[in-house]
Formats: sequence, structure tokens, C-alpha cells
Amino acid sequence: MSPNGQDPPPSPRFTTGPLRWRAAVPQHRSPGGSRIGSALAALVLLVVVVAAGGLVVGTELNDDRRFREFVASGPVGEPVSAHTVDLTVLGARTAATIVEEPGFIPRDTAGVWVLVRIRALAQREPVSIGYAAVRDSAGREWSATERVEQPLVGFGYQLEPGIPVEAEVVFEVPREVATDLTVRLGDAGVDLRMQTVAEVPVPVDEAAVAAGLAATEPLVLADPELVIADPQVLVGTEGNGR
Amino acid sequence: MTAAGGRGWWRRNWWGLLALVPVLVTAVALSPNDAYEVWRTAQPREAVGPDRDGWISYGGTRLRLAAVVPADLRDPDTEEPYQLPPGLQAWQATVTFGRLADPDNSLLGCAFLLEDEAGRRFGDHPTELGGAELAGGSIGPTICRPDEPEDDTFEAIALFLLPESTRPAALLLTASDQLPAYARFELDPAALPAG
Repeated sequence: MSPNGQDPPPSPRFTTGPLRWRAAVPQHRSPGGSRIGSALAALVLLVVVVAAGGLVVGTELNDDRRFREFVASGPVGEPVSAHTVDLTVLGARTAATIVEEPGFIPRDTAGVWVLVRIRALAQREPVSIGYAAVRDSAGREWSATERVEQPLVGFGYQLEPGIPVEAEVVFEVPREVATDLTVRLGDAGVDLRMQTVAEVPVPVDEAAVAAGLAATEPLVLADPELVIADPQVLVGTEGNGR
Repeated sequence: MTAAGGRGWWRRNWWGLLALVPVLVTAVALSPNDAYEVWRTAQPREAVGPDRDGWISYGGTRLRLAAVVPADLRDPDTEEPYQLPPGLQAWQATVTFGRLADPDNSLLGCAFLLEDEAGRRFGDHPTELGGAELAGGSIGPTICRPDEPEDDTFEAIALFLLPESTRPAALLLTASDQLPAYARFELDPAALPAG
């Protein structure tokens, strides 16, 4: 108590023993009501974090989805950029039997051959079409066939910038999906993670499939062509005997 | 929590929040599996240029550009000039190499690229030249190896196909174990011989 009868201010003060000094701290903890509020807030935050984690897991963002390919879609006859290469689907033919060149062994099928004609143009550096497949609306996928030599698909053909090449890519698919296909093309190999894939619907209708299957002569595969000038882009469905 | 309590929390924890910034930046920057870093280091991005004598030290050897000229291509059957598709021009680059420091391992996976005025890069021995031969000899994939390991110097010839509308502006050599570093010879497109 001070001489004037008032309490001294609460700080600073010294204790006995070793010289120690404590700063005045108004309050380290909130009053009891606030502590309950803080605990409730922490509990709510915990629930929110756990729930958010559950939502993230629920979105199935596993590695396959997080690193899945980028898809660039476009219509028939229009260039679609697959990052390093522009790809244009020009048309398609169908057949029951194909042959690489006249005199070679014909290749028949229990389904139908679909020959997709594409134009490929590298953009900035040499590139190859390492990935080619068709996919139906149910998500089933068929790779370009290995029963015949594919001149443009794989890593045997090196596309150079500014030099467009046209060629056919050959697929063997079940009869019932031939009119329900999207062709997928890109410069990746089997590993599509983080790669760009061009997707274009395959222009094949029932009439073309019927005509192709009814043809008596094997369909001869077209050779790749350099297209230096810019010819009129062929668009549409074509049956056997293009 | 009261307003005074809120201010106290920030006062007690400001240093921790501040420390989070460099920690996050470091964690992202040093991630060894960073996909971008893996991709970046596989690209030819760090050019190594020639010294005053025109030599580049790269991949355990020295190399110098001898010439970049329109390629004299021949039909192997008739010996007549090879007919390129219209609108295209073939170019031939000759590079002189010094002795390889390690004949078994120097310049592994070497590849030549020709860059045009627009910065586009063209590959060596393109598919379209598969049926042609150089005047005076056959052509095949360019290898960065001497005929005999003890040779002090040797030459390599690279072939390229460009649209006629563009001209070479630089010759590049990459080796897979040297990337992202690559050897780069600048060219003067206007000074090159006409095709």
C-alpha cells in the first residue's frame, strides 16, 4: 500500500532469491467463456479440415488423373494443335480387307478396317507421331494396328517444321463401334502423362461401313505425301475406292 | 476470441508466419522430382559458343564448323541430281571434331539440329532424304565418332531439309549427357551459298 493509500501499479516486480524480473503480462489466457469458444472453434476447424480432405480424396485426384494428358479437340478438316504438331483429320475409308501394296498379302478382319487420313505439321522442332488410337463413346480404345506397316505412326517418320505430310493411319475395330470413334493423336509414346493429345471424331457413317465391307477388292493403303503447297482440304466420309 | 486476444495471437506468431514464406519457396524450388525441372534439363537451352578460333569445347572434345552449303544429292541408281519435292531445299553441314577425351563415352547420343531464321529446328537426316545419296558417298545417320579411335581429328556430315522460304541461321549439336548445354554455331543466312 502506498502512502497515499492506493495500490502500486502491477509491474515490474522483483522476487526474492536470484535476481529475476518479470514483465507484467495482462493475461496469457482468455477468460473461461472465451476458452470454451476457442475450443469450439478449433473443433469446428478440425471438422472442416477433415471434411475437406474427404472431399479431395473423393475427387479421385490420384496420379493418373493429376498427370493425365491435355486434350485438344477439333472438327474434321480443321488443324488441331497437339502442342508440338498440328494434326488435321481429312477423311476416312473403311474396308473388310486391306493390302499395303498391290501384290502383298491381303489382311482381312472379323471387324472392320478404318483408315483415317491425316495431315501432320511439326511446329518448332522435329517430331514423330508416337501415339495413335481410336476411342469409342464408352471409353474403349484401340491402338493403330501393327498388322500392317504404319508409315507415319511410331517413331519411323520424322516430321520437320513447315513441311506438312499426309498419310493414312490404320485401325482394326469391331463392326459395331466403327461409326462411334474419335481418333487420338500425339507425339508421345506409351506414356501420355502431361502430354497433349489431339482428338477429332472419325468421319465414318453406316453407309461408308457397309460399302467398305461389301467391296470385293482389298483396299490399297495410300503412301505418305509431302504437301508443300496448301491444297484444298478434303473433308468428308469416304467408302472403299477413294 | 476477443479483439485483444486476436491481436495477441498475431503478435506471438508473426515470426512463424513470416518464416513460412521462405520455407514454402525453398520446398518448391528444391523438389528433386519437379516435373518441370526434369523436362527443362532434357532440352538444349544453354548454348556453348565458339572461341576466337571458332572452336567449341563440348562433351569431352572440341569441334569447329567447316561449312554449311546446299547439299549435292544424287539418285543412287542414275547418279543424276536427286529430285526433291518442289518447295524444299536440302542443306549439308560439315563439322570437324578433335580427339575425343573418352572414345567410348564422349558425345553419347549426339544429334545435329539446324535452326532457321524463325527459330525452328530441323533434324538431321530427315525421312524424306532416305532415298538420296551425297555426291561422292552414301549417307547415313550422323555419328560423332572417328573411323579409328586414335584419329586426332575427324569430320561428320549432317543433312537437313528446309522449306525453300527459309534459310539456316544456326547449327546446333547436342549430346544427351551434356544437356541442357549444347554447342551452337551462329550462321549468317545472307552469306550462305544459294541453293
